[in-house]
Amino acid sequence: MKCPTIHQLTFSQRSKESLEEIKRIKSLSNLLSVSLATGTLSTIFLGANSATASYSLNSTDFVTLTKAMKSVPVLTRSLIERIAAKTHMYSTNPKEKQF
Amino acid sequence: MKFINKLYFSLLISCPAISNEIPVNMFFTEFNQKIANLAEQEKICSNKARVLNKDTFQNIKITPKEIQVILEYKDLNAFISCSNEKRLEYYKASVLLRLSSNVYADTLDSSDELISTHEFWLLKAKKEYETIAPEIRKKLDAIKELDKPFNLITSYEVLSKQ
Repeated sequence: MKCPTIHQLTFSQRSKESLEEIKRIKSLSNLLSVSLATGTLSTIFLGANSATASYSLNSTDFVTLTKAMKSVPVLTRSLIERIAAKTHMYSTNPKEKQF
Repeated sequence: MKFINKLYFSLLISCPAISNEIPVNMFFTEFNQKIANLAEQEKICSNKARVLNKDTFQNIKITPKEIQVILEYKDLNAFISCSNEKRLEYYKASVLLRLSSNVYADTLDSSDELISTHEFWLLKAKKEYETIAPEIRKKLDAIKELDKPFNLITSYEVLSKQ
């Protein structure tokens, strides 16, 4: 579905706050995705000798890690959809609603 | 009940000592699983969302602005109630992982902040909801349809036309 072009779109204060909130959530989501991966690598390799690292590598459940990483966008989307729905509901400007 | 709470609390405090012997990986795996479970449950709750009936607020005198406040609060409340069990399991796993290791502090900070966003919004929405007259709120709280997940935009469009 192609997004329509909206001319002369202005945002209300509420919409601006909603966009800031979406930015915050996106930033958290990106941070979480990265730290899930780096946290795992830290547990396996940092301060560990080869025996410990080997044990950690074998005992790390990469399947559930992958599930968790795939779940982050789902959780993020749920939050952003709710912001969009709420902003749409409160908006009185038709162009803003369309956005 | 008090005894069980005291026992649970003292176990929680002594967790760092116990958890040194339990691989951190176990707590991390549990944490990851709970994130995945929560996401799955949120998807189920979103899929359950239906449109409210146009007669939902029949015989209740409310302004258009109040409809917005009511729907925002009830939508969040219904969604969180639907996913509450998985949400609590996530928080439990998060606390245990945090107590077991400092390595995942950043992960937990961003994860906790992200996942608790819905609860913060609910608190704000509840504050607005409580500005509505108590006798009206009593009638609204008796409407069971508002306790189940619903589509916010479409329901508002239906109800605001009344």
